[in-house]
Amino acid sequence: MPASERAALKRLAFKLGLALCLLAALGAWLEGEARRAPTSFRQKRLALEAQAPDLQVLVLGPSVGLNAVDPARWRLHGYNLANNGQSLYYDRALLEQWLPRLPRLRAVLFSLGRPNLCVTVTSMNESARGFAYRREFGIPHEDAALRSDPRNYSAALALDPFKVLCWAVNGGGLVLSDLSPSGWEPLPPLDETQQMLQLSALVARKHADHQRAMMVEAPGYGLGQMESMLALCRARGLRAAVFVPPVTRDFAAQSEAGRPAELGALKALCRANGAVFHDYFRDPRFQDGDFADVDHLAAPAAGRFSGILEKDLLSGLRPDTATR
Amino acid sequence: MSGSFGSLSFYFLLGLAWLAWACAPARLRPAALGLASLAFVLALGQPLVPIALILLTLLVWLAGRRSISMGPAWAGAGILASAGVLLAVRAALALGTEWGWVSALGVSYFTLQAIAYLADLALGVQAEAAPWLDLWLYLAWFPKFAQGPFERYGPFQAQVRRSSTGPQAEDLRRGLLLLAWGLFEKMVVAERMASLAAGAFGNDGGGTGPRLWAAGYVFAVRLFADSAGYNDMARGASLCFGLGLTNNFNAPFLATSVTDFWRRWHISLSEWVRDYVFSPLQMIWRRWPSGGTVAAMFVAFTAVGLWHGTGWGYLLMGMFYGLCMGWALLTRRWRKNFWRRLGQENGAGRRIFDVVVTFHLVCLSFLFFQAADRAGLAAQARAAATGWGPGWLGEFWRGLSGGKPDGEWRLAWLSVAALGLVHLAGKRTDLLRSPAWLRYPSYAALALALVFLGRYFAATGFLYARF
Repeated sequence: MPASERAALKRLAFKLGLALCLLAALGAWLEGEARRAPTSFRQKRLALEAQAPDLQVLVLGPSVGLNAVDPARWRLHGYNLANNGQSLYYDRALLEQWLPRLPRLRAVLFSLGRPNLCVTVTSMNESARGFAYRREFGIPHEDAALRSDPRNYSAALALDPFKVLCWAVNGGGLVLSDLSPSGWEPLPPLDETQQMLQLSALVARKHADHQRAMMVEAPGYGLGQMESMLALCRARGLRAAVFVPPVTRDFAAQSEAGRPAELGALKALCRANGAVFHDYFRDPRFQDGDFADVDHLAAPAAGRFSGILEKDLLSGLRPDTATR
Repeated sequence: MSGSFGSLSFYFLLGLAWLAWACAPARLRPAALGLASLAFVLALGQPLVPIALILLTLLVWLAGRRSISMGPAWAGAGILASAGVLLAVRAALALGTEWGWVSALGVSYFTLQAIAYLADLALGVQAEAAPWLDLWLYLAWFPKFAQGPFERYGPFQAQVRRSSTGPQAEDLRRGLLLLAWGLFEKMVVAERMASLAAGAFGNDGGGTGPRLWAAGYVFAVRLFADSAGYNDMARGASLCFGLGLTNNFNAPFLATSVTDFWRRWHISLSEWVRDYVFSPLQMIWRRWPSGGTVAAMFVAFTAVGLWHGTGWGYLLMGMFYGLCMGWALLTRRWRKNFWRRLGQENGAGRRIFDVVVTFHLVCLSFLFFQAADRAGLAAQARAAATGWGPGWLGEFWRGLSGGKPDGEWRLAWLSVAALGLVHLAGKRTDLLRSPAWLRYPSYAALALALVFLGRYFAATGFLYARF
């Protein structure tokens, strides 16, 4: 190779190296910003760490639980560890991880959405959430194939670099949950026009989403996860309760197929493990106006529902006055 | 997209292959390229693929050698065998055979290049049979393996000889820039448009006529960005090794006729079809001058349609192009007179009209392409008849935006605008030769767009790789 060509290659290598260093610096800054972002997972971990020594009731489950249960309404000190799209795999992993760190825990409430027994975080097309569990709680991704994904190790990649940039520059970009200190995410109710326009359209879409997410062979998988959690609670002498939050009437009617069999299996599992089961799916105390969409209670109704839960599921448990 | 330009492992392999090639002595450099291609095929993780490809190469190599020593009948037999493999794979896939390894094979690119090589030998265009290693490199060169472009053995072999001299800074600079630009086309433009297209085609069950019309535009841009992106990445990666591949796309949406479109779209496929299907048929039917040409065009483009797959949508697309070209040929004189009477024989008005009409015909053909099968076509036909009431403009807009939030669709269309600008500017300006004030900000903009706007984790795979 001629000397001039060698020199040109060296110059190019130097420039490329410089460009890569600049990009790496940019990436490092972005990663730092992304790690500071108060995602719901981060908020929950920090709150749980702070409240762990005093906690008496823990709530687990997906968004239907996150939006429907406000433990601040209870006499017992509770924390809502449910999260958007949180599948039973993560419920179980969180319970296993936190049980030894919650010395005063008395009860665990499991909220279940309609398709929960049949889905994994991957089947919901929300697998990005799996990366947050790895970063914040050290829980490996539910989908083993995604455990080597770079998003497991980079907050910027998992959150989307452009969104992180917007967030770092002007505070926009990322959709961050506004959680209460008890881990509850309050949602605003729909006004009448929105109810008319949105609920009917949402029923079909949500039902289709759920159908897509549900895996035929999965109820066994979900029941297995639930059984492990109930067994953990029983071994610790904790009260365990499983409940299905209410949904709008139309959505309940759409989602009825296959539900009785699922409920039967769930009830039998609860009976066998000494757990309480309550089904509020078609609860007449909740009307369409109580919802933020077809299966998520709005804040005022969530307050009422939390009161009902305390009466139905936590009765007989005395608050530990030393902690409240 | 494992094993392709969308996966990190591909770039790792690319870097290793480049180092091995650059450090190898000149006489071993072609072997290094051949080994890199073998490593790429092995990395696909489908054990049957390398075996099938090596056997196919062996068959073509033997047929080629025999053709030189014992007559062109051997090349004919090799062509029949290669075409047989392609047809067998297509038939098996059409019958629903679940051969995961077949889809990783890049079988149509491999076999059509083999046919071109053997046909050139039989016709005397290629005087000598290829050595085995050269043939393997020609057929399985890893950047073009999955999605082309189709190369011809002779010119490709000249490139391989040229690349033996080792790395050149100019090639490397140009190659890396093309690679990055292709990545922008695919990961920023095509992937963002894919997300809009999913909404535009009515994934929520609400497909309507106006939305389908808009979806045609969205899908056309997506298909172009996807295919041109792969082509630029393949050209860029090859250029890093000193190998120049065919540029498959030349501003196709500025075509003034369907024939012109196919001179600008998937150019290497069009040239293959022209040389090995259309021209021979035209020769056979030369006694019927216009009729023979029209029939040859119809057959050639029906074959192009079927090359994409055996679905009804592909067949219709091919026949549609054949009919359009036949119509254009038969009405050429009439149209010429019409425009002459308007004083626009070569005017801008005619050009704009032709570009707009051609673009819409192409978008229509892409709707056949997108639907692929009979059920998809029927659903589209049903959707096309609905939604033309007073709110049609809103529906049309919903199609263009894919029903996505403002930020998302604006970014998508902004990236399309950038793509168009660069393609137009690229015809006049060579960025590598432009002044530093233009060059370095352009590099920076490209790098930042790749970092911030690329949709790497939602990537849908390359559309043309499935053919």
